[in-house]
Amino acid sequence: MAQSPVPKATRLVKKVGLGAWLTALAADNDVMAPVTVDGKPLFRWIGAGEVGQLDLAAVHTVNSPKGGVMPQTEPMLTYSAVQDGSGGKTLDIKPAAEDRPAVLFGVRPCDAAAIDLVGKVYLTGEFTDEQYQARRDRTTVVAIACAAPAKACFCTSFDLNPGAARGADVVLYGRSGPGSVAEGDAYYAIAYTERGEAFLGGAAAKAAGVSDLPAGERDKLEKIVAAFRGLATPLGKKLGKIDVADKLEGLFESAYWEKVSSRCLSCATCTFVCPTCYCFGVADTGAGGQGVRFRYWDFCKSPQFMLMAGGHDPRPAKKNRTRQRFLHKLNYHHNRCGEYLCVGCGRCVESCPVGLHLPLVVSDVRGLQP
Amino acid sequence: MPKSLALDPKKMKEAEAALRTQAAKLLSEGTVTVFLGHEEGWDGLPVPFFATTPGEAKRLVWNPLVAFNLAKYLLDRLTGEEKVGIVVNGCGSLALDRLLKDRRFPRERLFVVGIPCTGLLDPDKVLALPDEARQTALEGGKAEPGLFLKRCGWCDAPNPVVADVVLGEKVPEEAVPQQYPRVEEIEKMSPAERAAHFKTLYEKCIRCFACRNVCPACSCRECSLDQWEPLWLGKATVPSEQLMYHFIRAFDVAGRCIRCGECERVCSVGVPLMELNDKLMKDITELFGVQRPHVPADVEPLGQWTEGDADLEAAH
Repeated sequence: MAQSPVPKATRLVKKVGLGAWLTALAADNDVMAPVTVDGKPLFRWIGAGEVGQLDLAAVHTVNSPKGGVMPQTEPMLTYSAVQDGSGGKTLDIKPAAEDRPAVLFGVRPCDAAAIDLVGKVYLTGEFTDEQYQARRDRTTVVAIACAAPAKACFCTSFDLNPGAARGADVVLYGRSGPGSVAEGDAYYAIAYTERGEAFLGGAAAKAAGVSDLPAGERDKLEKIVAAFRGLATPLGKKLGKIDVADKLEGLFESAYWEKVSSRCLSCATCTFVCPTCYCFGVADTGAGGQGVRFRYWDFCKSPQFMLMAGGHDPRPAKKNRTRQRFLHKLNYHHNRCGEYLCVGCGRCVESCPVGLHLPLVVSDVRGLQP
Repeated sequence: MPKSLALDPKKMKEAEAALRTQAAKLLSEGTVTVFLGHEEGWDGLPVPFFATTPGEAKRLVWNPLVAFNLAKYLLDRLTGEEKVGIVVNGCGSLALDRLLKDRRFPRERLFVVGIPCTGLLDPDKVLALPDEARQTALEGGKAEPGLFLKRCGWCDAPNPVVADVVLGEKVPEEAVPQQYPRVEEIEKMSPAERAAHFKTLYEKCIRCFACRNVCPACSCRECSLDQWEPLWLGKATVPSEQLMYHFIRAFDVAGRCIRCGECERVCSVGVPLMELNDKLMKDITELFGVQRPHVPADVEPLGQWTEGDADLEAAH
């Protein structure tokens, strides 16, 4: 795991230049960035006209930027019935049109790491998801180190921290270090990948006034980056390192799942705001001999998720579905990939209407008798 | 603001003690096998809790943050003969009465503990307060009107309308005119403005169904929005389907919404779901003369037919 990758390029960008940067980027790229809509910070695709709404103040947007690489609704192919020349019809199938290159801007280190983490599911093993691969290949992730982790943050309970670079092509570090970034201040922009290096040397970066590091500032930069990486997270401090994968081996039949799941609303809030939940369903829509096949976010808390044709449901109760969600994150994925399927962003803590979230389950499980 | 909104943490503390005693008694005597209430969650906010032993009943809490309506959880207990205990305040009892009037849970399997309400605070807003201000609100009972749950602002039913036993004294009730300022604003818009308004609202929706799942009026055995054959609601989150979702949801609770606003409160992305619910309630008042459309009744305007119905007249 590349915890402290070697910087490929280091630049300086003034905070006032960010708007010009995004405007220039929007000409050739789809740009996703945090904006505040009616008081709620949300990650959204923004056009050049919406650049002014950029809001990097909130550590947590309600949703994660995962939709940038896994759109909630993503066309896979189009089909149409066409005459085949001998009086019959044949099906003409075309792959979905490719979107423009994308820039995910202002992504928090936890969310950037989540993209890398989930990428392993789509891109390694026997099967490569080509559509996902293509989308990743045209996506640049520009992360921003967290100056002040939120109350529900616990990235440090994993091999992450508020200044981590995993999954990011570029990371912006506030020049004055952890603490709020004042107007007129600047960010160190550090590229950790070749894509990031090219990004910082591109025309859009020039338009934003991205400049070389002033002479003699390298020592300061290293201290600042180290300060971000050494920041504690409030919930992470309380929770410590997550350590329940082995213990959960013996708890599949525990009465705990019935108990903890009883208050679950069976909604998709936790799943859809989670940066590492990646399950999807596939459906067709169309009429008159033509249509689109698309995939869409599905959620394991739904009573329909595992329902089979014929009526059988292997996970018929909230107990089964809740257990699946947490075992997937804390045991199954750990067994398969050697790491937890969670980055400690804390969104489930903040968004679950009934307070049923991963840190709670971790702390409960620690207290259970095997 | 209704006079009943005289937030009284001391009274709630007394009610909490009485609630624990009552629930423990019901569980130990075997009157009920489970008691639906709230306990303190991870971050200090109350979360729904189901006590099954007298010992667990000690974990029940009753304080200005018990915003969550519990009645909907009865639908998880439809099968079986067990008797279920539940605590309700005024609006909690409206939610419960909704399910009872919709004949979704048998009254004889319930033991209802009612607690007259002096107002509830919005947990998210209270959690965001500085420590001192939070303490002033929760313990001192001093809270700005903006800290209360929105539904408290139009509450005219602070005393439980369904209860087997009531803990504490009734609070004075008063008529509160039901007003719908947000609906009036939308009604004034041109069709083009209105279309733009709805689009802005519903392109935010992430279709998590929390609004539907929390709603005491959404109690169908199978929800049309979940059906595959026919597919009423497409799976794609495109504007047409988003609007379809929100309009179906609102129309399916028309005449049965209790105006608790839980749909809007649990929405993580801030979709103002009550706008459509309020519009339908306002229409019911204007078309059928029902002054309290949020209160479940034995005979409801959309559940009956009379020769004088407004829609019939319009059809002629």
